[in-house]
Amino acid sequence: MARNRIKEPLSRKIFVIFNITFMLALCAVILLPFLRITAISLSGANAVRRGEVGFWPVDFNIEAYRRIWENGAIFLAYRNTLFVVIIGTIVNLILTSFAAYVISKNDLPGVKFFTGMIVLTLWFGGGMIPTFLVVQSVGLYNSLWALIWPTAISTFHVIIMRTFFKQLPAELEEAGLIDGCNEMHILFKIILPLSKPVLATVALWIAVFRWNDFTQPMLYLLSRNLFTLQVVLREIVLINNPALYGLDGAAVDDTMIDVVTASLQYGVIIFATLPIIFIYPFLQKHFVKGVMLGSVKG
Amino acid sequence: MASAVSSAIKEPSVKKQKRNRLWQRIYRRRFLYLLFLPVFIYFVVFRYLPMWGLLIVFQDFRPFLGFAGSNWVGLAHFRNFLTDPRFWNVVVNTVVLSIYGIIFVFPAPIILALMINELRNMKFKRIVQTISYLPWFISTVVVVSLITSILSPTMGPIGQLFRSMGRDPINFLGRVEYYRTIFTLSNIWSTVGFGSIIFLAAIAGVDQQLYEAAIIDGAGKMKQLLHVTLPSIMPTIIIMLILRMGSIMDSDFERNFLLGNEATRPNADVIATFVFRTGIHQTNFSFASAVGLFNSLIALIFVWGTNRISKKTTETSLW
Repeated sequence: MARNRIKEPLSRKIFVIFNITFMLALCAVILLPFLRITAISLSGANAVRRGEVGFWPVDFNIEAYRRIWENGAIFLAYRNTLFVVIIGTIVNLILTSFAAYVISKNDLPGVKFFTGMIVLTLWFGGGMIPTFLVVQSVGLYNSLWALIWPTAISTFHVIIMRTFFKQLPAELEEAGLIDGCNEMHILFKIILPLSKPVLATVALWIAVFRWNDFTQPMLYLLSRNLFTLQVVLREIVLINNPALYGLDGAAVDDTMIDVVTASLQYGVIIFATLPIIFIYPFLQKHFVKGVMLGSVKG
Repeated sequence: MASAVSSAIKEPSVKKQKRNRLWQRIYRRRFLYLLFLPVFIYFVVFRYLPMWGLLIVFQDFRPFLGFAGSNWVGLAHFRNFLTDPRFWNVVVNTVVLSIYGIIFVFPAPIILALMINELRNMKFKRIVQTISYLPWFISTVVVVSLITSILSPTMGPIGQLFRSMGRDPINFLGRVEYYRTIFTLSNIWSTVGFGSIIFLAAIAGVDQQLYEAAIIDGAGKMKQLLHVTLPSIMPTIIIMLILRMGSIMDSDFERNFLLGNEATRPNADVIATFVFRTGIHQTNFSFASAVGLFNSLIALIFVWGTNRISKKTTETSLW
C-alpha cells in the first residue's frame, strides 16, 4: 500500500482530493435543504422571524410538530395516502404476477395475443384526457379507488417479472403438475414463494410511486376529505395557503406557544417525507437490484 | 384431380380433430385463462378504452351529450392547434427542456459513476452512494417545496446571502429567464445519483484484464478511462441515450406543473401542462386530446427513429 502511494503522480493526488471534495459537496447539496427546513421547523418563532436560523435549530421546540400531529386534516390525508399505498400495492402485486405468469407460458394457446396486448401499451396509450374520461365514465371519479385501478398494472413491471419467472427451472412446475396441482396452485405455492426478491422490488417500486403520486389525486379527486398527502402538501406549501387546513401560525391565542407559518409548512414537508426516509435503507437495497433486473432484455 | 377431391373430403375431419385438440389444450390450461381474466379486463378498460376514446379528437365532445351524441368535426381540432401560437410555444418549451436534458442531465450520472468508481475508501463510497440515491425517492411536491424554501427571497438562505452583501434578493422562481436553469438543475438533483447505478454496474462489468493490459502498455489513469472504461460502457450509454432521445417529446408534467407559475409560464408551459389546462380546466376535451394524440404520435416516431439510427450506426438497439 505505502509503496503504491509513493509511486502515484502528483496529478493523481490532485484528482483524488478534487474527487473527495466534489463528493462531499454533492452530499451537502442533497442534505442541506432537508437540514434547513428541519432546522426552521424546530426553531422558536422569534428566531425564525429575525432570520437567525441557518442549518441548525435556534430556541429548539417541537410546537410545530405538536400542532401538525393534532391536526385532523393532516391525519386524514395521511390515512388516505396509507390506504392507497397499502391496498394499491397489494392490488398491483396480485395483478402483475398474474399477468407475468400467464405470458411466461410460451406454449399457451393465445399467449402471443396476450403478450402483444400488454407490450403494445409500452409504446402507445390514450393519454391524460381520454383516461380521465374513462375514469369518470366508470364511476371512479372522486374516489380513492381512482388512484388505484387506472394504475393497477405497470407494463414495465410485468416484463420484469416475466423475465424472472422464465428463468426459474421448469422442473419445479412439472413436478407440481405430476403431483396433481393445477397451475393456479403452482403459482401461489411454488412460483411466488421463489420470487420474493422480484416481488419485494416491484412492491417497493409501486409503494414509492403511490406515496409520491401527485398527478392522479389532483386529476381524480374533488372532495377535500379524500385528498392525499401530496395534494395537501401542495396547498399548504406551494399554494401557500396553510389556513385552509387550520395550520396558520398567526391564528394563535395567548396560551399557546408562538409558531411562524414557515415552521408549520416545513414541518408538514418533513412529516410527509419521514416514511420514505424511514424505509430508505430497504428501498436502496431493492431498488439497486431492481435497476439491474430492469436492464435485462425481456 | 382425384387426390384433390379426396383431400377435400378428408379435410373437415382433420380440421375437426385439430380443433378438438386445441379445445383440449385450452381446457387443460383453464386456470391460466382464469388468472388472465382480471388482467384482460384491466387492459381493456384502462388502457384500450382510452385509446378507443381518442376518437373524440374528431368530435366536438360534450360530456352531457356523450360519445354517441357529440358532433363529428373531422380534423378541425388539429387545424386549430396547428395554427395556435400557444401550441407552438409549448412545443418549443418541451423540446428545449428535453435538449437541456440531453446536454446536461444525461451526462451527469455517467460522470458521477466514473468519479464514484475512483473512490478507494469503500465506506466513504457506500455513504456517497446512499446519499446520492436519496433524492430519487422524494416526491416532486417535496422537491419543489425544497427549491421554494431555498430560493425564497424572504426566508431562504440565498435571499439572506444577498441581503448580507447589501443587495436586494432576486425572486428566482418568479423570473422567466431562470426557469429552464432551475428546472434542469432540479432534475439533475433528483436523478443524478440513481441514474449512476446502471453505469456503475456497467463499469463493474468491464473485463479487468483489459486494465492490466493497458497498464503494461504504460497507460495512465486518463488513458485507461478513455481507451478501456468508456469504450466498454458505450453500449449502455447508447441504450440510455436512445431512450432519452426517443422521449424528446415527453414532458415532465409534475415538475413543470409544480415548479412553474403565472410569471414563468412563457417558458414553463409544456405540452403536458397545456393538455391539462385546456382539457381539464377549460373542459376542451376534444382539443386537448388532439394535442395529446399528436404528441404521442410524434413521440412514437422519435423512439422508432432513434432506435433505427442507432441500429445502423452502432449495432446497439432496443429491439
